[in-house]
Amino acid sequence: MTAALETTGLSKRYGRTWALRDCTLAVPQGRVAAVVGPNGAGKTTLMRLAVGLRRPTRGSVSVFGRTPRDDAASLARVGFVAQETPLYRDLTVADHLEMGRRLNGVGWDQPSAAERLGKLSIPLDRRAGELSGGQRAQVALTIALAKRPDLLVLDEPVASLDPLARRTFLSELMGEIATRELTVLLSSHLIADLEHRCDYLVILSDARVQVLGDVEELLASHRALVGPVDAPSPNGSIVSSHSTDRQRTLVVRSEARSPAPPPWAAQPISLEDLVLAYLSEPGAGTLPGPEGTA
Amino acid sequence: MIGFRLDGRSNVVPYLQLVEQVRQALRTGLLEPGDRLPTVREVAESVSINPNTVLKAYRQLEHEGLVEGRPGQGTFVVGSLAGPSLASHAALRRELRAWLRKAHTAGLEPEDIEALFGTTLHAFEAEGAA
Amino acid sequence: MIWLAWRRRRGALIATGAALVVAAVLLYLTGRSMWDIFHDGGLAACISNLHGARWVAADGGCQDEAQAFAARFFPMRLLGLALFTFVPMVVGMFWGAPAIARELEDDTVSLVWTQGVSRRRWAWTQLAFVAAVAVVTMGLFAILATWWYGPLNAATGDRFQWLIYDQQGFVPVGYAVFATLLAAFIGALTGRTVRAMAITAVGFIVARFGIAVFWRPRFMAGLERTYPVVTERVPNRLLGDWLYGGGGPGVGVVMTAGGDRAAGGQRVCPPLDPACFADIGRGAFNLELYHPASRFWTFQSIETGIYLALALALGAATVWWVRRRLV
Repeated sequence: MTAALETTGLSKRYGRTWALRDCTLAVPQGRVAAVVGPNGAGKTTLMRLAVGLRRPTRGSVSVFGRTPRDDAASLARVGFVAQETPLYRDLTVADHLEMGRRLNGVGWDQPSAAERLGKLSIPLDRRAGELSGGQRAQVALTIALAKRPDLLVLDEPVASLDPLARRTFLSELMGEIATRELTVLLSSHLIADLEHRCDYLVILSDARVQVLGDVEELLASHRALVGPVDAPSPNGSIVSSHSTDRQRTLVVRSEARSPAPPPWAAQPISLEDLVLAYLSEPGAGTLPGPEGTA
Repeated sequence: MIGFRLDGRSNVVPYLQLVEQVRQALRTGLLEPGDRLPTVREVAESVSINPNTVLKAYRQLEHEGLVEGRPGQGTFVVGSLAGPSLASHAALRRELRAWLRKAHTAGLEPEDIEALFGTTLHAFEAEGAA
Repeated sequence: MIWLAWRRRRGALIATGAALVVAAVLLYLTGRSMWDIFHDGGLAACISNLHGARWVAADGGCQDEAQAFAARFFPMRLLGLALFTFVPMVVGMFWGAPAIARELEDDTVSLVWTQGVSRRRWAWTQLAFVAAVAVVTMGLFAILATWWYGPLNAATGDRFQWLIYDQQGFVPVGYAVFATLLAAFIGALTGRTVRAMAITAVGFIVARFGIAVFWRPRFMAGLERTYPVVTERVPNRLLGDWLYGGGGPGVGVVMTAGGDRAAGGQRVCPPLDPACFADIGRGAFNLELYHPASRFWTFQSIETGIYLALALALGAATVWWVRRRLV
C-alpha cells in the first residue's frame, strides 16, 4: 500500500538555517500521526512541505505517491489548517464556505460543511474576526474537511484554545476520522492532546527525525525502570536517565517483554513519558529498522 | 446504550479497556442480546479517542462472539456473559451492602475494603473453590 | 476567485468610492467657478478670436487677460499641483501594498493556497483586481482633473509643462497602475503592508522624477524655432507648446547674431527702444527648443505605455515571486 505521506532525505533551508534536514519518514494510510518536537524543530516546515505550500531544498516528499504541487489536482487531496487557524477577518463564516465552494468546484461538500457548523452552533453570518478561537478553529477544520481530503494536516490547531474548546475540537476531529478514509497529521505542544488520539508518532528534534513509528509498538517496546542509584545499568538501550540521591529512573528500549533484571522494577510508560524521555535526550533516537513497520 | 470512558492512569491499553467495559455491561445485564452498541464515530467523539482503537475493540468483541456487525445498521450484542447467575445478582448485592455497612462501622476505609476483598478473592480462587 | 477578491475588499471599495465622491464634489465646485469666470470674464472669447494662430503680436495675444486669470487662480493651481501629483501614488499604496502583503501577514495564504486553485491564478487575479480598481478610480479622477484644468490650461498655455501634464489625460492612470503593481510587488517581497507602502512612495517618486525629467523630453526629437529679439510678433504662448530645453526648464536662449549664447530666457524688444537690445546687438535672436502642443496626446500615449509596460513587468515579477520564491 502506498504511504499517505512519504519523504526521502527531505531538507528545507531558509537562508542559512536548516529548518528540516534529511528527513526520511513514511506515514501509512489511515493513521493519525502525531508530529511533536520542541519549537523550531521543523514541525511546521514538514507540514507545509506535505501540503505543497513549500518546496524542498533537497530530497523529496510524496503524498499518496505524488509530489504535492501547486495545481488543482494535488490541492484537492489535502486539507490544511495552519497555525493560528487563519481566516479572512472581514469575511463571514458563510463567505468562507462560499469561497471554498467556488475555489474547489465539484469536490466541495457544502451540505456537510453547513450541517457541521450548524451542529456546533457557529453563526454563519458572523465575521471571522469576531469568532472565538475555538469557533475559528472549527471553521478552519470545516473548510479543510469540506474539501473531502485524503490527507488532513493540522498544525497546532488547538494551541490557542481553552481546555474545553480543545477537547471539543479534538473529539469532533476523532468523530470525523471515524466516518471517512482519512490520514491525519496533527501537531501539538501538549502531548496529552495526542495521547489515545494518535496512533503514529513522529518526533522531530533539531530539524531531524528522532523517533518514528506505531504508537502501540513504541509503547510496548519501551518501559520505565526504577532502581537504586548505584545499581548497575541494565541491558538494552537507555533513552533517558534521571537520578535523585537514592533512586534512578530510566526509560529503556527493550525488544522483548522480559522481566526486569533485579534490582530494577519495570513499569509501563505513557506516550507523554516516552516523548519527554526522547525530547530530553536529543541524542537518542528510534527509527524503524529494515524490518520496521513503516 | 452504554457510555465508555478511558482511565488515563490505567496500565491496560485503551482498546482492552473498552472491551472490558462491554464485558462488564454484559455481566451486569446492562447490555442484553439485541442491544445496539454506539457507533465507532459516537465512541470516538464522546471518549475523544482514535476511532481505530474503537474499531479494534469492536473487532475483538466480535471475535469473542459477543457482538456482531450488521452492515448499514451498526454493531449488535449477540452473546451474553450474565448467564443464569444474573437472577441471583440482586440478592447478592443486598448482602454485599450489608457487609459493606459492617466494614464501615468497623472503621475500614474504601481502600482497606478493596484490598481486603482483593486478597480474599485471590486466596479463594487459589484454593480452587468452584 | 474574482468573487473572493471582490468580497474581501468590499469595505475598501466603498471607502475608495466615498473618497472619489468627495473629490468629485470639490473638483466640481471649484472647477465650475473657474469655467464660469473663464467664460464670463471674456478670456474664452479673446482666445477663441486668436483662432489658434502660431504667432501673435508682441503686445497682444490675450496676454493681459490670461495673466489676470492665472493670477486669480494661482492658489488653486498650487493646491492642484500639491494634491493631484500624489493621487496615483496613494491609490497604489492603498490598493497595491496590501494585495499580497496583507495575506502574508495574516497567513491567509496558507488557507487560500491550499484550496483548489493554483497560486499563479490566485496571484494574477489579485493583481488584475487591484489594477482594475486603480484604472477605474484614477480614470474617473483624471477625467475630472482634465476638465478642472481646462481654463487654467487655456490661460497659462502650460498644459504640456512638467507636473501639469502629469495630472491630465491618461498618464495618471498609467502612474496609478504602475504604483499599484509596484506596491503589490514590494508587498510580496517584504510581506509587510506598511513597509511596502513606504518603499512604494520612494520608488514611485524616483521613477516618476527620472522618467519625467530624463526621458520624457526625448520621446520625440524636439523642434527648433527662432525669432528676432527686435520684433513685433512672438509665438502664441497660449497654444501650449512645451519649451523644455536651452536656458533652463520652460525657457529658451537668446543668441547673438554671430551665433553665441548671450543669455537665458527670451527677450522681445520694440524696434524703437535701442536700449533694450544695446548689449546684444540688433541682429540677436531667440532660440527655442520645443515640442508643439499637438504632440500632447502622442506624449501621453507614449508615457502611459511606458508605465503600463513597467506595471506588467512588475506583475509578472510578482507572480514569479509568489510561485517560485515563496515556497
